[in-house]
Amino acid sequence: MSKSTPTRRRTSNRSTKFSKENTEVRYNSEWLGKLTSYEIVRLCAHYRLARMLEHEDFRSRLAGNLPIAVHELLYPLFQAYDSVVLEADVELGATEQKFNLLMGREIQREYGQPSQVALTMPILVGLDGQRKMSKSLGNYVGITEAPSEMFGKLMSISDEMNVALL
Amino acid sequence: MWPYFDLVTDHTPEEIAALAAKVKSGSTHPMEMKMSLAQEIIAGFHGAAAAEKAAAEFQRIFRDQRGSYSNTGAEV
Repeated sequence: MSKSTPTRRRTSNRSTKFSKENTEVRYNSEWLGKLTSYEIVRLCAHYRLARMLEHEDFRSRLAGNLPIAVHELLYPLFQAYDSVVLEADVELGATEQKFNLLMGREIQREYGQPSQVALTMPILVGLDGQRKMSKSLGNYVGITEAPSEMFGKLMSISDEMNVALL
Repeated sequence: MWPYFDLVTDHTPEEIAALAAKVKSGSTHPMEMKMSLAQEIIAGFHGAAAAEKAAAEFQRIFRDQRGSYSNTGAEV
C-alpha cells in the first residue's frame, strides 16, 4: 500500500512485482494497538448497524438465527481504519473481501480522505483444490517459503482440480 | 492448476488456453505442465536461478523414487 501523493504514480508494466526493494511491510498492531476507547467509539460512530448487517455472512447468520458476537462487527471497521491510517490509494483483496474494501472507502470519506480504489481478484483455490487458499486451513503456499518447499507444495496441487478445469 | 496460471503468473488468458490445449491433446504431460507452472511461480518470488535449482532437485528426487519403485518391482 502506498501513501497518497499529489500525483498518483502510473505503472507502465503489465504487472508490478512486489520485492524487498519496493515494498514496505507495516503491521496494523502499530496503530490499532494504540487506539484509545475514545477513538474506537469515534470510529464506530461513523458506520450504521443496518449497513453492517448487509454483509452476506451476517445476513445469513441472522436469517438462520445463529449468533453474531458484537466484536465481529469491529473487524471490518478496524480493517477500514487501516486504510485511513495508511491513506490507502488502493486496497487489494479477493472477491469475498468486497464488503470490507468498500467499507474502507466509506470510512476514509468520513475521515476527510479521498476514497481508495477497491481491487478484487477471484479467490485462489488452495492445494486441496476444494477450499480457498488459507493459512488457517493449511492448504497454502507461503510467499516466503524456500524454493524447494514451494515446488513440492505446488506439485501437490490436487489432480481433481486439473481434471475439473481441463 | 489452471486457476494458478490465471492468478499467479503473467500469462494472458489466450496463452493459458493454448497451454491447456497442449495438455488436452496429449502433447504435454500434465505433470510437465505443473512443473513449469511451479518453476514460474517460484521464479517470481526467488528469481529464475533458484526456481531452476528447485525444479532440478524435485526431478532428481522424483526420479530416485521412481527408480526405487521399479527396482522393488523387478525383485518381486
